[in-house]
Amino acid sequence: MHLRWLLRLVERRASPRALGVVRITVGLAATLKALELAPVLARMDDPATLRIPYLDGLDITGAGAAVLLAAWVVSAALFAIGARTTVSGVTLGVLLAGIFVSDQQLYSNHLYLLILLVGLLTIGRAGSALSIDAWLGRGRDEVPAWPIALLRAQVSIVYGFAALAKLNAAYLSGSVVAAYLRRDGPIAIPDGWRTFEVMATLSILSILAEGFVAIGLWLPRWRAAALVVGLGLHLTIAIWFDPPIQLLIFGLMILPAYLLFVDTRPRSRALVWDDSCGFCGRIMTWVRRLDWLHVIDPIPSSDAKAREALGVSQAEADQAIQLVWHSTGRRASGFAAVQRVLQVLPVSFLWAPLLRLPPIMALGERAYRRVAARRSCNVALRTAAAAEAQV
Amino acid sequence: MVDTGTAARHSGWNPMKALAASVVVAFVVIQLAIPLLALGQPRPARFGWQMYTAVSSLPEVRLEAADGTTSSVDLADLLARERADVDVSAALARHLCATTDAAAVLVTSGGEEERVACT
Repeated sequence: MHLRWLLRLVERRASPRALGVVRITVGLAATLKALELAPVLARMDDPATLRIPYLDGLDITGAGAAVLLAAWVVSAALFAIGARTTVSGVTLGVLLAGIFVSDQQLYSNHLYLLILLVGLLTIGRAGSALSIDAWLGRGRDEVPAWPIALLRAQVSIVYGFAALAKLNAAYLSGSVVAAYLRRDGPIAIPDGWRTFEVMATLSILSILAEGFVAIGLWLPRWRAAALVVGLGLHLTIAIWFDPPIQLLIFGLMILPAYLLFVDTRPRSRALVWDDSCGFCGRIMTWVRRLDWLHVIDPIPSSDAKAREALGVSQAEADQAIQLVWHSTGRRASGFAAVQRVLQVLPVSFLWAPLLRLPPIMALGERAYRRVAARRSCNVALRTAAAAEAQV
Repeated sequence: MVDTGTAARHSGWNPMKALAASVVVAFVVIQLAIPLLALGQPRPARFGWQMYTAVSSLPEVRLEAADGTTSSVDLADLLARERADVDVSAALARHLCATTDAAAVLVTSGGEEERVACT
């Protein structure tokens, strides 16, 4: 009785496409991580270097840095492109875990997270879509939803504990932030700004941001804000904290996983667009190209039957594009529809919520109306014909 | 939680579902318990997602020769990489005793000095 929620969770199926996007970026991050760790692994080859194994006999770095790195890069690349994904995922996961436990100096939160992500993606059959496997006919339309739930949980755990661990006097004093802020280059933070007030404020803001992302991603009302805050957090630390490469790789690993929180059910939204307009056609070509999750169900406005089934009149379709949620019949039109489409495209879902800010929305609406009015199409002809018919 | 999944086609437990459920529960419990325990340790603790939570410095290490003279050791030459969340003191002392002819290794960390005699 009490385990019914657990049964429902393990019975649920989901589209593998968002998982495929995460697999690609995690594979890329794993490849970059190999390059970043290459000098460290090379140093492990030097007998003069200190060794601190967790347990004797677990050291696989004796195989040689070059061999390990080659195997790491190849399996990560195969995992990213989704070639024999289960095999490449297991190989990559075992290799990373072997390197991870071979010496304590190789520990990093990022490597640890990478192992967990590769493991969950492999269990979740992340090669079922957007992969070579799928291209060769080994794809699936549905995969178990529980590994996706675990990936979501892992994302929240990372941010939640990162925030909780910062609740200490040293961090809240701002001294930690001051120590890690960039000191060199054109965007270095001057020493004059490293005051208690500024640094302590930044420290508190960082804790609030991490805590908000951990919780906000689960709440539909706050999800869009959490996406933007998470993106801002990662961009900020990658730009102003050291070392930037590690932080960029971390962002590449975890930010795409936010997509797993977004409602991206395939063909869940109909987009009614004016197919008599060349400009609109070009835009729709790009929407189709970038809609890797197949969320959008494009309906040309000339398809009267499909359009009317959605409750969209020809006049409304002529005036602006109409996005209709199949499940609820909810509708957005014009710039709001553009914004909602961008929110489900993997290339834009993180920053698209910013377009909902009132000043940007107002400017966007104005720009949309101007572009829509100037588009070359048959709307004018249809309008004139309709007026003539009424006369 | 956003429901991005599709409705289940079967109901009731079977061994595969029980296995999946066990993995789910074990994963969540472990992934919550480990960082929770790490919160009670000095920052930054490993496996605790304690990125950028503290500024720590590496210990200062000196070698003591048989005649009592000391010389400092550059850790950059010894460590694969410098990490604040790895306690290198004990391993360093063992390593230096094994690879040098020092009589003792002096490790200063957190203001306290420890003398490890090489036997």
